[in-house]
Amino acid sequence: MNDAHEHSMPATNPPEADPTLATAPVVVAASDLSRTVHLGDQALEILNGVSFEIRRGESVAIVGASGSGKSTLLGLLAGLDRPTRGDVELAGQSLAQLDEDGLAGLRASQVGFVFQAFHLLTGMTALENVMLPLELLGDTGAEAKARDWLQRVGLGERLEHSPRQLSGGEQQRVAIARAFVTRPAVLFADEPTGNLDTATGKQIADLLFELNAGGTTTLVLVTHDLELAQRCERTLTLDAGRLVNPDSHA
Amino acid sequence: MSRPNWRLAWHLLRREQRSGELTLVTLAVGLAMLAATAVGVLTARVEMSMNMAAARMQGGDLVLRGDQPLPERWRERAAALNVEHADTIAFASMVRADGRFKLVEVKGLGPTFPLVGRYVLNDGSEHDGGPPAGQIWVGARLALALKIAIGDSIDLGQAQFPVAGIVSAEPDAIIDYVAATDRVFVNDSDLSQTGLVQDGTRAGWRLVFTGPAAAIRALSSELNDGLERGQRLEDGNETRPELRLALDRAGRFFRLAAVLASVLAGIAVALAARRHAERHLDAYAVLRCIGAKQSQLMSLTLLQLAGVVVQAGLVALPLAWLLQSAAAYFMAPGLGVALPAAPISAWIGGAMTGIIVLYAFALPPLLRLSSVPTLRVLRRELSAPPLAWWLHGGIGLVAAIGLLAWQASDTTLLLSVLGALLAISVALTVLGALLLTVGSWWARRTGGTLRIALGGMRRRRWGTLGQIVALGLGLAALALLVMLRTQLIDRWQDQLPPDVPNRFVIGLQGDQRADFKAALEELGVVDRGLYPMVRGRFTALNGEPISSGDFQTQRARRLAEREFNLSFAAELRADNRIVAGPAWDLEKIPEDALSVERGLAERLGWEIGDSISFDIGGIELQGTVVNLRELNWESFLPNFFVIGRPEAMRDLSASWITSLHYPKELADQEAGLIEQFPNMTVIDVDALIMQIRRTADQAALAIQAVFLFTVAAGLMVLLAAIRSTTDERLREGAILRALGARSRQLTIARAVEFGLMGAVAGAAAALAASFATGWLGERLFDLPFAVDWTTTAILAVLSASAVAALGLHATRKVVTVSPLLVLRES
Ligand SMILES: Nc1ncnc2c1ncn2[C@@H]1O[C@H](COP(=O)(O)OP(=O)(O)OP(=O)(O)O)[C@@H](O)[C@H]1O
Ligand SMILES: [Mg+2]
Repeated sequence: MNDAHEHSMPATNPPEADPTLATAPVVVAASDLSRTVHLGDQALEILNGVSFEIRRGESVAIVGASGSGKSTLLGLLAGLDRPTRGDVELAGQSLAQLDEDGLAGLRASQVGFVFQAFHLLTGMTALENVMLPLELLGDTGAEAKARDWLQRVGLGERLEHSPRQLSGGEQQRVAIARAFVTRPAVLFADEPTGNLDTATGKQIADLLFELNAGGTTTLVLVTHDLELAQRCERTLTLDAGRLVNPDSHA
Repeated sequence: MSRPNWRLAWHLLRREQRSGELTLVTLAVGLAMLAATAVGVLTARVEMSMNMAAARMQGGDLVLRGDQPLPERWRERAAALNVEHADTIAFASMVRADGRFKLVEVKGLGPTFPLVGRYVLNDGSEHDGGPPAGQIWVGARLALALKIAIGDSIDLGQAQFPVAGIVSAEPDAIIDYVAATDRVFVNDSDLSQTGLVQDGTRAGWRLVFTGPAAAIRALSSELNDGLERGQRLEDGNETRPELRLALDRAGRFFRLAAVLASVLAGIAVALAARRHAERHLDAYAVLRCIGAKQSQLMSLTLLQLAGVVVQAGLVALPLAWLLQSAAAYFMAPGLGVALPAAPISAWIGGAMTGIIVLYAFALPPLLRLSSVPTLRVLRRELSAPPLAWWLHGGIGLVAAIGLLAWQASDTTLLLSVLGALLAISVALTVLGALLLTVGSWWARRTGGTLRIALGGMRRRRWGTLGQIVALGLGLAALALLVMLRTQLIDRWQDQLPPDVPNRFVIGLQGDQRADFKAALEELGVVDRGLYPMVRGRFTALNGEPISSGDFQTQRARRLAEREFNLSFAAELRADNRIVAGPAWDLEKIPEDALSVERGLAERLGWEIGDSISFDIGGIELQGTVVNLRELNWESFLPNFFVIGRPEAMRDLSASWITSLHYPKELADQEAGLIEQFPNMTVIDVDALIMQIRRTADQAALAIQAVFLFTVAAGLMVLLAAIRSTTDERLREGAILRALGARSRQLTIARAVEFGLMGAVAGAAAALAASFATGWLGERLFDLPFAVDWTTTAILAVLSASAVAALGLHATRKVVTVSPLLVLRES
């Protein structure tokens, strides 16, 4: 896999502004990522030879037109899908070498997710939703930690409410608490503000960056929202499945 | 599994509970358990009690017979097990009264006999025991024949006894056409002074037991293991065939209903589980996404199902207990005995049925959930990979067949039901496909509301087809039971019409026939035909002398040892159905032809063409089996195991037998009739007929109860089938309404769609069920093949309206719920 680096474009230019980042370890490395889907007898290249590295603590926005392959890339980075070619190294682990259970284990311990559609489990309370990832890890202190995180996202009073009883913004906060509660190495977010009005979207973004700044979590988010993209330290732009500006600071 | 997983499973289970998502699955499983347990337990109890009731016709729950005095150790064993016992002895001897002699059967009764039942004397008094020491009782027939009155003396062996009672009913009147003989009854302490019972005396000793069912079972198995030469054990299984048939048929109906209820519950579970799985794809994708392993999700599913089982069991088993207790309570007076408790296996069996139904039918669609692609969180249209059809179908089918085989414990029943269900499914699929084809053709040529309806059906092609098959199966099973139940109950009522023969008359001499008929005519009584009869013992098969050791089963051995009835006829009565070999045509069959009852031939290993020898009062009769017959035991007409040509009886001294209906009003004249033909024996089978009527009534009652369970299971399937497409309909309805469709239009469209499906499913189900009823009725219940067109038509119309109504009700939200809400939730 390492030879893939050599003929790919240098995808990452560590921001000079922050010398500590340049030396921080790489947590996400994509090398020659490609994804082809077959529709009937037609092969469709959704992603084509994408390579880059993301270092610990960075915040990266993936932008691009609709249908350019952003969600596909995110899915591959998070190990939700398998590339047709290339590999992803996540927290030092080559995803290609992991089986489904290995991927699940890695996601449980190293990855957090925030989605456009919130994806909370509707039958559970906010608290139970946040406890879930910890319980999957076998954490016995799940409840205390979950309470703590809900407090931090400002929902300390809504612990026993079901997602149906929460507004979109509140649901997304629960989702954020759920994503951070395991202190993941990387947090992936696919249009986290896409379903929210501008003001609420901004609050959610603030929350994300605030939590990110306070810890060692790396933020990788897909967005159409230019303002949100600008708040990230780095932007990766996709066009028809190719990375066009491997290093762009808007 | 680690602790947190249990907790997670518990959370998920509670969550499902809260949302009511698993309710239908739980209900279906509960119903399967309820039906299987209540039916299984009740059937076990009724069968045991009917056997007990039958056993009591011989004086106790269990009877040990021997041709030697019975060993003391069994009495001790019985005492240890808390089982009561009583002794009797019976032997033949001459008695003398007023200078006249008569050969009688002497019964010596132990101090505790009878354990159940009473002796009834002709003065109307009832007695818990036999005659006191020093006195004798005589049978009513003997009293008549010898003109004995109370106070007369009778010589028996070396002793003389005063007659203290004339017995008109015995507690242990084993109803055997020819065993009815003249009897005297003495206290067994008096036997020694008669000098009649010595070493080597030919006599029958009986040890009769009664006690709690469990103790009787234990004693029975011990006795069985310890049987010695010349001893045999009898329980209620040796009942008269007339009674046994009624019991067997009721039992079969129970099992059929239980099997159908399980199948229906299985379908309901499968449908509910499918829907459940569809609705949970997102949640499982999220769980996988945040790191749940597939194996974890699978164990979660298994645990959830375990939760369902526990819940279903917690409700179903107590309910089953209540239901079967109530049924048992109402049936006990009719049976004449308290119903013994069912063995624990009946309970376990019921619970297992629920578990098997759940895991077999719900597991495949739910396991599919754990392999939902994680990418679904980003791309909603991704669904779980479809299960390999053989896996899904295979697991369900194998488990279902296994379950049925075990439940039915009757291969004919099992294969018949499976065959019928398969045929119905095929018919439904074909008709459903036809409806879809015609519907989509029509949809292109029409507009407006009808187009919406037909278009909806086409869009949900597989859903529609699945719904039609599920609805049809549910309806067909219901129709099947309705029709079979009606036929069975009718049949029982027809079988024993008010004028069913209640007397068998045996021992008439050939030259008395005309006089006898004349005497009957005078009373206004009609006989049902006089038949010659001889008693014979089977001695040789194809020239090889036989001994009882040649036979495997106790029953066959007994048959071979016993004398049985042979008759001679130029024509066979219409209810003797020839099942193998040529017709009984004197022109075509050989001189020595014999027609044999099939069951007897099977047990004794006789085949067509075999040469059979009998010893008939010292004369050898030899013949060749030409055909096998089935008898109608419920006719109460004389039946014969073996029938020969009329010429074959030339050298034999046959007596004649008939049966007749003797009305109660003529009771006073019966003694006169018997007096006129002193050598004739009249056997009163009123008690047996009453017992059969009672049994049939109880069985009919129990059948109604069991039937209700099955109806509930059928309704569950209908509900599950209708709900299976609700989500899709809601979404579609919301879009259509958002686009401007009016509520009325949508309602009519749904009514048309459900009505059409209901009509196809109902018509196919009713038709299929009619034929299946005819077929099953013929195969399983000996009912004549008949298709009931009126019921078929009624059922078809009812089904269509029921489906339309249920469908409209289940999907009423399509027009009431705000489209926005639906679209937001999906
Ligand atoms: N499994 C698949 N099968 C077929 N086509 C697919 C599949 N996955 C993605 N695509 C196609 O690949 C392209 C990229 O999809 P993707 O969801 O990654 O786009 P996106 O950049 O996230 O778009 P948007 O901003 O609209 O969310 C689209 O044209 C999509 O239709
Ligand atoms: Mg996208």
